[in-house]
Amino acid sequence: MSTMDNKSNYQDDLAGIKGMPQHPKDSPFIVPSNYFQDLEDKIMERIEVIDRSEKSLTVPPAYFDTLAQRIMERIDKEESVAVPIVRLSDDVDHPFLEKLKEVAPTSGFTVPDYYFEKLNTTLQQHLGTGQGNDVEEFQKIIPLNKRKSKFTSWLGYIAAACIAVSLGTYAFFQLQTPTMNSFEKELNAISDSEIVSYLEYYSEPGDGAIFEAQFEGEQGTDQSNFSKEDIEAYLDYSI
Amino acid sequence: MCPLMEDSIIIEKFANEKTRNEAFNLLLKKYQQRIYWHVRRLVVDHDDADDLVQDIFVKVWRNLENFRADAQLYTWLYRIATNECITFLNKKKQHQHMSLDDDSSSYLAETLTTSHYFNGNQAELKLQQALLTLPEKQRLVFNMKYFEDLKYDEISEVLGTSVGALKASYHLAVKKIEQFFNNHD
Repeated sequence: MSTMDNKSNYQDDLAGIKGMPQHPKDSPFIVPSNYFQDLEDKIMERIEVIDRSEKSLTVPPAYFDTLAQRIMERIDKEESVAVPIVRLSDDVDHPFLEKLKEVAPTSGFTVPDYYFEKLNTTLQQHLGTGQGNDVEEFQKIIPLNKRKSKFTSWLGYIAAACIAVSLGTYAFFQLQTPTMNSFEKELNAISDSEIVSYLEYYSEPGDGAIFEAQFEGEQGTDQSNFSKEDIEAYLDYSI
Repeated sequence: MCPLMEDSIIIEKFANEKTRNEAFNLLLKKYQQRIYWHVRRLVVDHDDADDLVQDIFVKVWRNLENFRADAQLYTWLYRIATNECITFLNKKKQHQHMSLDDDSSSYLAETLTTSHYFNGNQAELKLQQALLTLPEKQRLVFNMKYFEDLKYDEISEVLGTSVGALKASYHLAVKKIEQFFNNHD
């Protein structure tokens, strides 16, 4: 390795410039060992190689004399077979369009009978322009029997109503059923004796009449099941 | 297109309250069919076109007073109609759960086949099917050039697009339609 030759470097000149930072005398860059000694030999070898290759590769006689002409001929030939540049103008139509206009001159769409006559009347009537009115509020005429879009919007409302009813029904039963189930479960967990003792202890004087009225029907049906013997036995015991 | 003089008379009459209704009647008679067909070719379905035409003329009625005479009336009408159609088609796309960035008009294909008011021959049906494979902008330009025979300058004024871009759109549309016809022989 060797450092850059600094014999004729610019550092001394730069040092004289006002405000210029003081650079180190030795450059930080280095080259491989003996690089400059071998450089001349490498260059000469390269020149010999180039000379030899130029002598071995030859071109036909007068090649360069006709090269330009041949290039121009090639360009002319390729341009003649190339896709023509599309002329985008009003005057020139695409060839396909000429054929298309022959077979498909219209869009093929039609309108209901007397549509435009009705449309004109409809617009005039509802804007008030046909009768000399100053009605500016416009109510758009939508034939119910033809309104596919309105029908689909009604379908939307119906679907929304169905969902609301379904959710309401589900919510109703969800609110009701768990209450009933939990009440029944709790009631089943209490023994009859506990209920009787509770009622005996907490019942008010008027409760008897309430219970009597509440279970009147049941008592009626039960009475029909009592035999004469049962009634006589009950009366013997009670009185 | 329409003679400019007649449009200026319509606008002048509309500015006067006494002749406003008469002016609007003249405007309706003059432009309703043109606007209808412009809309119909874009939205395909007659009922949708009918709704839109009514909406468009209501807007015209409410805004004609503010129309500036430096523009041509028919380009102003076409611009309103085109904007209404594009808004409608975007809503329809959303209804079909399509992205607004999706440029295809293919979602209208079913409308074409189920439309009661189509009386075209096989080639015309094929042309409409081909048109529905195009991006909306190209379909719009093609319709205005091919069916409505508008000049590029006029289309440019309506759509606010350069003539060069319109020519490119039209050319691309024609190439794609030609390809569609070749592939569906």
